[in-house]
Amino acid sequence: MTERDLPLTPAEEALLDFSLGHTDQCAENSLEATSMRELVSQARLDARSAADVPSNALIESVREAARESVPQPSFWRLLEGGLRTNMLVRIVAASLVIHLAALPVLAWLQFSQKERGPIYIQFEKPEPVLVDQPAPELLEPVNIDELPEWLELLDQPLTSPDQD
Amino acid sequence: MTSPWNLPCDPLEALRGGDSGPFEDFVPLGLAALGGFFRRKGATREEAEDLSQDVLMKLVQNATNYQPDGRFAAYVFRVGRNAWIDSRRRAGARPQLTGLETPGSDGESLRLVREPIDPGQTPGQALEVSEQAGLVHAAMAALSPAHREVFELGVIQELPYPEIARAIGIPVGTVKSRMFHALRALRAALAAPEEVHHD
Repeated sequence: MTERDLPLTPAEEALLDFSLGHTDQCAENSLEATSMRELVSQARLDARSAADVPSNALIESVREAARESVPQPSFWRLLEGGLRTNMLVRIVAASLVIHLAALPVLAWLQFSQKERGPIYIQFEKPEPVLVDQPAPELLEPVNIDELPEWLELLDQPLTSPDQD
Repeated sequence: MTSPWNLPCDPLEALRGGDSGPFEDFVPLGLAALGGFFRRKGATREEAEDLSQDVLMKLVQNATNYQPDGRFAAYVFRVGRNAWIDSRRRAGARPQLTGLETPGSDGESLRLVREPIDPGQTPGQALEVSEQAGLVHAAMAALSPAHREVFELGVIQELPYPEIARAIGIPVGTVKSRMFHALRALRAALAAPEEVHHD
């Protein structure tokens, strides 16, 4: 601390506050206070009038950097917002949680069973179904000579199944 | 006091929270304030623009690490002060705090002459105001670097004492003391302008 940095007296502090516009009353040194206040006002006016106006390109480049620095809303942030506001999102999320919770249980049930042997598949011929329908009438007598050789004829008269 | 730094919210805190709007609103004010800050330290217009842009870019890049315990303006000027010191080091010179005495390297002296604000102001009145502004300019150049720095932040930038203290890293009492003696020195210099011009 230099000699000039010694603490101010209450009167000096009041004079300073008045000069800077922190207060509108200064009991002592009114002439000095007024001139110092005018000086402060003049310095501020000078600085404002002398200030360079930043170019639009410069302003836009900084603004663009600020926009790009903001992280985009993540999936989790969107999900959080949806859970707070949308009932449908809540229902879907609850369903998802239930399914995810059931998945390990189902997996345990599936893999904890004993291993089965090979699987054989057998196809069975269906039994002929006798349809209860009258036999078609023969319109012409059968010529025996035209019958094939493998057909063995019996020396018995032909009878209908009804007669049996 | 209507300080231009009385912002509705902390722009960096908003930026850190994902809202770039307040910071985008602050950009023109920040560039202008920092530009004047660097110009009054002796930077050329181009250098002041580059430094102002660098400072705001640093604020953006470090927004995630920003701790809003201190006031925003103090933080901005602390970063600006460090940027100025770094630029002087890169330039191979000691930190120069007496820039008001020297014109910029572009041959353009600092323009601290107030434009006529009142449309009804006569040329004679405007000249009187300009001369007064020149005297203030010369008197500011005669201040010590420490006093001029406090004067810059407290009077020109209109920061409150605690923020000046944070920006410079000195106690509030020292800020008040330096401000008081800076004002007294300026008043004395303006009361005897001939001495200032001949020094």
